[in-house]
Amino acid sequence: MYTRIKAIIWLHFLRLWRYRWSFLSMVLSMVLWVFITIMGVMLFIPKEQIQYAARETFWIILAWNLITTNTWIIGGWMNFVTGQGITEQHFLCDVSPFRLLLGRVIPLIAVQIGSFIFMGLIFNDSFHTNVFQTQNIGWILLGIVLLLVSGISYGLIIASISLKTSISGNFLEIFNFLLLGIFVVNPTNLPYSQKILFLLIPYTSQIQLIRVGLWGYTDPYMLIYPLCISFIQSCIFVYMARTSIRSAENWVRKNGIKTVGWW
Amino acid sequence: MGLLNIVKSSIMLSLYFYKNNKANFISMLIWPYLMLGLVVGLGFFIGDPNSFKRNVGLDVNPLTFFIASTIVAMSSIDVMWSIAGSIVFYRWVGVLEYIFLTPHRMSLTLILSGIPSYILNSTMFLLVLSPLLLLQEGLALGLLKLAVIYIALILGMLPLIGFAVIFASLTLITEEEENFLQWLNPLILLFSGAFYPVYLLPWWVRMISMVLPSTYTIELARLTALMGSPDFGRFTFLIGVLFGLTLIYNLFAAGIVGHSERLAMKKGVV
Repeated sequence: MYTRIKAIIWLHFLRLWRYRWSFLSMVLSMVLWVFITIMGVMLFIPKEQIQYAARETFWIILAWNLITTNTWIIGGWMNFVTGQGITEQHFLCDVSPFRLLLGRVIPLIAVQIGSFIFMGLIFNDSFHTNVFQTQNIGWILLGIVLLLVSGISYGLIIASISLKTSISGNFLEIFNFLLLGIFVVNPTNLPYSQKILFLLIPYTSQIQLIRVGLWGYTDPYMLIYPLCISFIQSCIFVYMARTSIRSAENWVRKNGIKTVGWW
Repeated sequence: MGLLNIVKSSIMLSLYFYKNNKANFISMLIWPYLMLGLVVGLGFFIGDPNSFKRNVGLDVNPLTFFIASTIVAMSSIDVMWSIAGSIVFYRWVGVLEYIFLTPHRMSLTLILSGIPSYILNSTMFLLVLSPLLLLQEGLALGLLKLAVIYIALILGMLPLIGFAVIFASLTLITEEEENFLQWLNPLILLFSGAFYPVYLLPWWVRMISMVLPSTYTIELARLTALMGSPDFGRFTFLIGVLFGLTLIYNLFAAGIVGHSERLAMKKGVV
């Protein structure tokens, strides 16, 4: 088992080095996509509020980007693996292809760190602000880690669904897109009863932790609730991913692979 | 195999792709709304349309402005991917060598198979967002504006073909897993002022934007966002520029593509 895991980790580091220009290309493309979108959004902001809006938007987009990237770097990679014809090979060698996908966390984190720094510098320069200035970096990091756990689980769920249904990650990614509209809502402004309901929506409690780290908090419950909910949600995501992977593996062993490539 | 057959097979491929990948087809229909919803929705949520008009410095309708931008942006990406981006896909699935072995030149096959897919996809993007534009502008003005956007899309395609072929040539001689279109496409959109007007960007970006065909396509389509009917003088000027760029880019592409094809044949294409 250890040798197999070592092989997968080695493979992903090796690919990261072998395709270093592709890695840089990924970082650059992610930053640019976010940037052109945000430039459009910033046209709606009055000039006097642009610095505040830029800081808030930067962290929300970063968090959202983390989830979306998971979907295509991990979830969408199943199409590539199947297109290369190596999914069956992994089953035959008794190695779960999902372990192979899990190794994509290595390029994922590398791309995210690269994008984070690059995007932050561009934001600082373009909107004359300091997006790295925070009240408590610990809450931000915790929020990001919990978001990563949920996001990776979601990526694996998508990969497992795509093995069975031939629905591509591209379609399932729509869910992520819809989430962005929810992320921009600050639950602090909602009536108390609705706050809890709002925080139950996937990822929103993790985003709230990031907001607490960025701006601080006045209501301690707006820290305690998101903290508890985000832990529970992350555990549920991991459990769902495990169940979905097992079900997909069993299904493939009986019926074969259905993934239709979509690049 | 005649050239017409390549076009015909490309049309059939696109149609059967939609038919057999219904989930992807639906996602294609939803995608323009998501893109538009992201920018306009976020903009309206954290800002307001009056600030938009103040920042842009023009009396424009923000929704029409971004509808035109979204359609052109998505179609420009489409033509780049269907011509230049397909090299990487063919390499992935191991058929690039076979395309080289077909009787026609690879670049010609790529162009002829890319055009129908571009026309079908861009028409679809336009049709998908047209209800929103018609609701916004009314039937008569809405139809006129849709026609202007469609003209921009078709004319914008001509220089973009040459532009895409140049990048197809470069993709052919590089041996990377992904291709540089991934970051080049958003960069082109940024420099073309897809979601942020070019005249608000720094001078050096404005210089680059002047040589990009998508700048003029976006500007042509965006004439529809101005309140009232589009300005005819500006309209004909932009069409003229697009024809000029068509000539320049396609002549340049014709020169470079043969060289990269020969190089790929010599070195191997995988």
